[in-house]
Amino acid sequence: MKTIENKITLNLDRDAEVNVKAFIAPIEHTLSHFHIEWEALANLRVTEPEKQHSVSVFQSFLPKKSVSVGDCWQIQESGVLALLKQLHTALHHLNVDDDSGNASGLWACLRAYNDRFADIAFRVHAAFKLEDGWLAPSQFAGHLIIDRLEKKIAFFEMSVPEGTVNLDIGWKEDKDVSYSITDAGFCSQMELRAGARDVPQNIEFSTSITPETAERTLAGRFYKSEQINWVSPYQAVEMAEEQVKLIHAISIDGPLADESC
Amino acid sequence: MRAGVLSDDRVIEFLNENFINVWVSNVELERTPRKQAYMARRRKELSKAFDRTHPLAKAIMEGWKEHSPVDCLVIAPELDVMGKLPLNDFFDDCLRTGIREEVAYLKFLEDSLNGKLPGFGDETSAV
Repeated sequence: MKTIENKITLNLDRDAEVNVKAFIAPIEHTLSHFHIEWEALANLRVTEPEKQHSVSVFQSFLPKKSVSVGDCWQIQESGVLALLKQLHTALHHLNVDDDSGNASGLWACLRAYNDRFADIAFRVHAAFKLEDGWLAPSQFAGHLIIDRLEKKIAFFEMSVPEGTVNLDIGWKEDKDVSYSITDAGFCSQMELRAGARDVPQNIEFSTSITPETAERTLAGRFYKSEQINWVSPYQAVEMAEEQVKLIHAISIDGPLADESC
Repeated sequence: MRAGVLSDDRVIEFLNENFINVWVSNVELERTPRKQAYMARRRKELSKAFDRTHPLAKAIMEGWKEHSPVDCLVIAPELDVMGKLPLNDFFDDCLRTGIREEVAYLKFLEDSLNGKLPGFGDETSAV
């Protein structure tokens, strides 16, 4: 364990294994009822509810050089791929750019550390291939807590956050046409986890940024439009009155800052 | 849109300098019967969903153009709509005139600030 000018290096014991549990709750809500009408979506289940992974899978999430709190780095695809395949075998895309405004990528950020633990926040965009279509979660967000003394994983969580909608869905209902029809919906749990949920709550970090700051920092790596100072619509009117400014409002089908539209 | 005008440096700077910026979900505003039915099932589980009876929500809905999937609006603190820009019409106009999207969007914002009420020549509907 090294600390140079508030920078830390992170390593894991390469001989260890990690037990990861995976969950996908049945999809109960879609705008156009694809979760009822499309068999592949109706029957979407986790591939392997529990799996032993080599710690090398998690090495992919670590920075190659020493980092400070707030620093970001790109996650290597191989580890994320192994984990996502535990959820569902067929990955549609993980890190592919397109021209439709979708943003791909895998980014991590050092959120906090103390003498013993380090908390890495991360965000991954990926989509799954289903029979006759695809499913793109809004994002996979999570954190990886490393025991720096033991060089072991204390906690890992990677999940699709809640939201009004958190899935973008494409279904080639008619196999004779070239296009897919689309829908959006909500899945209450799509998650991978290792370790007990109370681990993060019981750690006091000495150097940190808030989870919200880490979240915004990571979002900025995916969308340049996140440089705009967006505020909640509930705050907007009061702020406009106080600052004597007009409100610029965009009314849009899906969230501006994730892949669920 | 987020990969286009909302990622342009000049637009970002102008928005941060001159406006309070929000985006709202058409689903939460129950813009179509399909979205209304979805929210009827989901709203009880959503503590943070935007309340469509909120005065700002009402002003936004007043500025909608019928069948437009995305509307950009400028609204005064007193909740009067000062500018309306249905996005598909905007893209069509840019294509037809050859004006760059970021230039046209900045003009929409400037015209709204200057009280020129851009977009008020079009018909709007609260659906």
